[in-house]
Amino acid sequence: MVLLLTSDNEMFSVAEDVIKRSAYIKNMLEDVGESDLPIPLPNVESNVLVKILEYCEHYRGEPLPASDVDPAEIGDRSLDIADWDQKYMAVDQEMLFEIILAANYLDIKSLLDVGCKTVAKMMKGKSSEEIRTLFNIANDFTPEEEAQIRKENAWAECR
Amino acid sequence: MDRMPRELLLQLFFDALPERPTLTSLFRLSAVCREWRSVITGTCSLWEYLEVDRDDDGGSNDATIACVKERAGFRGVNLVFPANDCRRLRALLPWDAITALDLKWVSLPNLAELEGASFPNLSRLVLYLDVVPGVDPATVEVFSHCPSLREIRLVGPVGECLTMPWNRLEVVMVGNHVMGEEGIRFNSLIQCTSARQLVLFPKYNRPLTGGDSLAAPTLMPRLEKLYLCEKRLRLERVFAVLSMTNLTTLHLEADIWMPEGWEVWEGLVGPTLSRMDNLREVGLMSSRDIPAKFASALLKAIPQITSLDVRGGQEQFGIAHWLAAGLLPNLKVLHVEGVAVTEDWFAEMCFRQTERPGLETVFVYGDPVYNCQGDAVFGLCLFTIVFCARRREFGGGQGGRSCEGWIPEWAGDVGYHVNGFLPSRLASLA
Repeated sequence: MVLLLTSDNEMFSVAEDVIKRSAYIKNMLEDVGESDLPIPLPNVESNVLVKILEYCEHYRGEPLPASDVDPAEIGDRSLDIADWDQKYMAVDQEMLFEIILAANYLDIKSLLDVGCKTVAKMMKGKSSEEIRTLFNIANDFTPEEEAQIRKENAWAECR
Repeated sequence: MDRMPRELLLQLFFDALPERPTLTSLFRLSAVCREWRSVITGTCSLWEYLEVDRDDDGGSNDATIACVKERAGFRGVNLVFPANDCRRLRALLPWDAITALDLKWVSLPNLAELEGASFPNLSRLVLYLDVVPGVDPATVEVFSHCPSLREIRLVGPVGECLTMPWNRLEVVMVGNHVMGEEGIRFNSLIQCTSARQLVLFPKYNRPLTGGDSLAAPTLMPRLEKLYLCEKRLRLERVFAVLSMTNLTTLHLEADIWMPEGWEVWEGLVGPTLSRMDNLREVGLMSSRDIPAKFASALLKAIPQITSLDVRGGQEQFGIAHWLAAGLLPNLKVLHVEGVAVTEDWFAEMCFRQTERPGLETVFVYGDPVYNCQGDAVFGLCLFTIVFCARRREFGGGQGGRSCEGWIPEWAGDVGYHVNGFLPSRLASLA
């Protein structure tokens, strides 16, 4: 078993084969070897870790995805998400972003991928203003930038 | 969202944007907030391929091109340009910023404005000339002198264009809708001695006259990939390319394969083909039948191939038989078409991973598609099933009539939508 200590000081005891879906933890275990000391996760709160562990538990035993794919590589990226993953990601927006950030920190590529696809699907087909509203993003452009954007939007809207 | 680091934002954008981002989609995302704008405008790769598909005379093209020029960081811009904008293009983009040009439907008087241009870094050129009659070769010749040009795709009445000094090219694709009358000009391409990939397709429903399209490739010593599509393909002509031992890919497509003279050549096929040690990808396609004896001889002689595309007449030479017999042990990708291949026995024989562990992807094309009881389900539907054996996923697509209602339940969470009906045993392997 592996001990994990979250940012709000909760301790979790997790089966090694479950948490090894996290490349971060896997590498740490390989580097440090067996230890009774907990692994601190200063960027992950307990409620988020519970959710992350639910994912890892579900995919326990499944082969780990190849890690040699550059996520930013432009390619044929389908936004299809498996049924279970869709249900798993049906959380409020705050938790959704917490999952993505934790997946990034813990280096769980498949979960990060599903999280990003979920957000990307929410953005699809929406205007800039709608995206701002959806994610509660402030419009922080200067008047000069606004003018440039208006020019660009004129292009986009003429289409 | 405001805690997302830049690298995660970028991943989100890559997911949210089309494979080749359009200006509209980039502008929309970059207008959300300063952070997003900074990430998008600072990522050159997002701006490297842009389809400028508007044709207006306003200032927005100018602004847009200037903006693209700035954001792509002069690393090179692939432009799909609409029409009548060559002058503006010339004014706004330094020639050395352009590494690829895709000039679709450009009008020739306008193309002439490019005269004198040097395009020192242009490496890829696509010209669709079939909408404008009477090409002035001088306007195209501008490009033949580009020192970095390595790839051309010429579509339309290319005519004299083929005689230009395209002697540094590595990838050549020529498709000529009126090639029937001037097929001999294919042979002008023999000057492309550095070509590694050649794609020739004359107008499909016209016979090639006055020339032999297989003469040019045989004089290209570095050629590795050859794709040839003809109305009628005589087998004895095919033998000319079978002596090209550098070939790694050979795709031959003909409406009618003419097996005359087979009895003369039959004994030579095996020994000739067995010298093609480098051949890994083979395609044999026909809207009718591929000569069974030729196909069989080819598969027997080249057991090392990793990709096979057989469409048309495969029942005759029995691709399933070859696979079942354990031939082609290195096969990774298989394209097949027709009624027989969508039947259960074929699926069972070919797709079981235990029997063919190396087979990674199978594309099954069916027209019409039959269900497992042998009833035609979609008589007019062009249908494709993709079975990725390694990932155990199915995908598919179809043109023509809608297949809604026939999507099997198990297809719900696979990679793509499967629009159609698969044989039951094929489905059970998923």
